[in-house]
Amino acid sequence: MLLTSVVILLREVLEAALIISVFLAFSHLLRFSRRWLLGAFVLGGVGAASYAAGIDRISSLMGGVGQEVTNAVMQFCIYVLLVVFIVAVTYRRGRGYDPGTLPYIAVFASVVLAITREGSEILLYLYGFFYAPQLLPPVMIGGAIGAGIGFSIGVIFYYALTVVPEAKRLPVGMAVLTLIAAGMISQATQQLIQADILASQRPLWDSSGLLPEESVAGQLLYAFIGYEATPTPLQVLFYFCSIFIMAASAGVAKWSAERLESL
Amino acid sequence: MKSRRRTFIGLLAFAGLHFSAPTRAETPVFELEIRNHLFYPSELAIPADTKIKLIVYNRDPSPEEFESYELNREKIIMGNSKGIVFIGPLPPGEYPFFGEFHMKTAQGKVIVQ
Repeated sequence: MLLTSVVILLREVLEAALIISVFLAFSHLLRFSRRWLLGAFVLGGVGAASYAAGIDRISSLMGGVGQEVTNAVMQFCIYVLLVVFIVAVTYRRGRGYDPGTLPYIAVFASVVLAITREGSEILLYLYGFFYAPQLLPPVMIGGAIGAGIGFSIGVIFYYALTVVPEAKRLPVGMAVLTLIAAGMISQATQQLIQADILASQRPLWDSSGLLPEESVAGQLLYAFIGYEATPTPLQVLFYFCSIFIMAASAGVAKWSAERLESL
Repeated sequence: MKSRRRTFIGLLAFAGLHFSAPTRAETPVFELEIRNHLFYPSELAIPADTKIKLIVYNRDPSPEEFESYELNREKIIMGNSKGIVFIGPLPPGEYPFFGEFHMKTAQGKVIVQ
């Protein structure tokens, strides 16, 4: 029981922790106050509790695939918010302006959504043990260990980013965000395939022998770049499209900022 | 830039062709039950190259997450509730699944034949 709870909490915490640590590493560069984090935790917690409480009703929507659709929509929204963040920061920095409130809102909303999704799963897992109270202590201990490891990886990642020289920190952080965002799109595609809204296909490849998804490295790569051992062609296509759209949007933002500057 | 955009539209059109056709009515239905954090049956045989609709009944009071790395599926099913998961079409083989919230006991596999 202990090990299961370590793994579950670690998996759920890791994804949100990575996004948060990139944004924290940006906060200094963009002269953000870090107050957003507390608010995002509170609102994300409320969101997670509401989603968990309503999941039965949500699941039964749309012929029984409401859960998949809701998850896909949340992941898609996180992707869009990350695009907005990158575009706004690139454009305004290129023009030498203060980044303003738009990136701030995008940071806040995407973290709230990430916590809502991951947090609801944690709450539902823990809720189950109120039916087996004797297991609750080991589960809580295991959960705390798992969450601790997840946060620690986030902290290590944060410091790794702050070591990057200031001039390079923004592009490096954006590249990381782009990969995390593409992972969101891959997951959303997966959910829509599971819901039979997008067509199911045979996997494009099977790398589970090389790098199993359930291994530690597999789980880390899953959180960082959306690694799947057996992705379908549609998932791979959407993954790379989402990277392309993100990079192209940032490129256009940079180009138009430079053009306006030279006028 | 223009040719890049055209490539992108082409890719989208290609993706569009893969959106599911309205064949839902013929999708065979299979059922699984969760009792005392165990799957019944723990081995489920399904036909190869066929999309199936799997209904998982959770007879326990506690929530469970039906999960499989091999099938690329994950879905939370509340206590005393049911969940629908579409699986396949798949090549023949064995595809393990588990209940993530109680993975010590909740283990099973889909056997595609």
